[in-house]
Amino acid sequence: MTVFEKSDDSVVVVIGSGAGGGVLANELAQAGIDVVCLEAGSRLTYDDIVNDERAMDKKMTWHDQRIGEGLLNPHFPVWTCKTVGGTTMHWTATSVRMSAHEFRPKTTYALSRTSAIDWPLSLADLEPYYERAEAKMGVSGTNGLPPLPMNNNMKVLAAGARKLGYKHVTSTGVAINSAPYDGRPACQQIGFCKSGCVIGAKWSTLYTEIPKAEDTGHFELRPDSMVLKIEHDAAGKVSGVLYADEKGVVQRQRARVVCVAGNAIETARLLLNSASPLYPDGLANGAGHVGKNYLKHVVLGALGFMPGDVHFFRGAQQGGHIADEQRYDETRGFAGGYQIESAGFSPLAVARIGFSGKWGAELSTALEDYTKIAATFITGEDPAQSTNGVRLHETQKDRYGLPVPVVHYEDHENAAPMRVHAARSARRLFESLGARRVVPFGVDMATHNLGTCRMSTDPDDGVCNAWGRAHEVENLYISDGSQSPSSGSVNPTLTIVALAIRQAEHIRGALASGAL
Amino acid sequence: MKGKLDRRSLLLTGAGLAALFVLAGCDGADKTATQDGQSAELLTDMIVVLFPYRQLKRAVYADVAARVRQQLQGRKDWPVLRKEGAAALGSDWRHLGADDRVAKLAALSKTAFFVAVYQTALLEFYSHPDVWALVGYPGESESLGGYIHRGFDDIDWLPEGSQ
Repeated sequence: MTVFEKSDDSVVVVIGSGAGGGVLANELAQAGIDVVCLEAGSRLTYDDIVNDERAMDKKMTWHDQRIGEGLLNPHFPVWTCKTVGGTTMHWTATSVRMSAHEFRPKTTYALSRTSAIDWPLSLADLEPYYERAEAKMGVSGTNGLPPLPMNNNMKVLAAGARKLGYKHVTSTGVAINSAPYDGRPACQQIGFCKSGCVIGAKWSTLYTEIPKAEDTGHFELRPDSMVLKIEHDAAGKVSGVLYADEKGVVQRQRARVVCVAGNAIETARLLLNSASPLYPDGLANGAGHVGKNYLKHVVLGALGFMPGDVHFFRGAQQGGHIADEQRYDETRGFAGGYQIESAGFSPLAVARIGFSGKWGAELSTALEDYTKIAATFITGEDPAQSTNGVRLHETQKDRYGLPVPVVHYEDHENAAPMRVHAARSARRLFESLGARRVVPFGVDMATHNLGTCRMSTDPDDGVCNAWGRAHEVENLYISDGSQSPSSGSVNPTLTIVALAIRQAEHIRGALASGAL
Repeated sequence: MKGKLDRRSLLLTGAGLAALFVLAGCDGADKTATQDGQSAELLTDMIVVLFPYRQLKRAVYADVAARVRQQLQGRKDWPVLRKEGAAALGSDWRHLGADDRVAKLAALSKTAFFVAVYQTALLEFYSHPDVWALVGYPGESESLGGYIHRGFDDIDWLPEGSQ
């Protein structure tokens, strides 16, 4: 096992081991670059992964205090992970490319009251990296892999889609092995994707990037290492990080380059917590965008109570998806588009999320039809607003002594008409197959956290450039979904992975040329 | 109706035991035990109203209530919440008719007491194996090889031509 000295200032420090950090670290290590990866959570093994949502929640979920405001749950505003692999442990693996227009929200959408900017890169720029991401992750429908076999829930979605005249319904674009791939087995339709896949058929950096990076001899993972602060030298370049190790002892790791991939809440929080006399408002925050422009998708779930059994707990929890409504078509009464996915839930999740706050006969009779439920989950474009974001609580501190993050989110005025349209689509879809009841529901905890350190062409508009390099600090990188200036309509992980591969290529070049 | 009778007789037994303890002039510890028993019964009754399934035996509700109590007792604010909640419900809540019990609980639904009980009970109730069996959820599937050979795609009622 490779171990680097804490005083070794030639290493690249990557903070976080999920879709952004895990991929970036492995890509760098494969190129012979020495990487220390600091992960706040513990490292699980296959033996730790069980078909038990509550047990896995305790093992994987980020439960340190966070405060939600606006439309977010006050006690649990975002659902992220604190474990090696990050949110690739609980993600449901839908891996679809963003559309060309979604990289240009400012130019494309006629919206007011938005702080949206266009990405400093285009779909064409990202396509080669999407291809590499799909190959890395074993995305169904690419690289010779067939579509993921459709379970009952997906079949309901597909049948309803055809009734409605939708043309683009598929179970391609899922990073769950539809056939054995990359040394991992094919999906056995176990369910429990959100609890970490017990057989590793679902792509997660815990099973793929991390062990591959370790095999290179250029990578050291330090789990249970919560980064407290990024330090810099007199010239303003980052020089290392302070972190609390597994015993809570504060350590300093020196670094040549620091890459932050802690998910959009923690990434912004860390930069804000790294304020110094030279960077009084936080690291890389000279233009004031760190923690701002937080995006989380406009989301809507819908339960269809169908005429026959669906048993939607059997098999992949997501996978089937409809692309027709992702198009750019403002005649629908809103800007941007949305994606419709199949979604499977446990009885607890149906009660807790689908019927949030409900009790008595209204809840219990609904659950009596649990086996007949089919469900969709809809994610739509979330126009950027500078007022949505992450800030540090003035007084409350966590167990590391760091200010607790406060996450604020309000809908943009575009969200309501989109949600009405999406709810109508879901209702028509299920009713076309004889559903006797359709229950739409909102969700007050966010999983697709983006935008809080966005990339921009103009340094005044964002935090980092098209490669994720901080405008203000030349050896500091943003390496997760915080970079994204817009949410698009699709699940963000594939884009995060593509950006990480692209960033690794850039860092390799910059190190080789002596620019870093 | 049978369920109602059973519940009533249990309720009477609880009250009878309490009366016996009081009459016997038990010391503080026993008083606490009695109060605990009453509070367990109250919690069980609340969970029955929150998640009513005629098919479920009271023992299942009592089991859920025990798990809920264990969780709530770990909360620093629980003694105060419990006291406030019991006072707000009133001593006769358990003896009210079904509709009145629901109405009274609904009136308290914004209180910290209700929220604490509801959220914990929801978690424990819909994680209980007997409740899973009732709604048709089998839980873990790994040990049976998932559903790849056990009906993950066995839906047979979709309209012709829609597949």
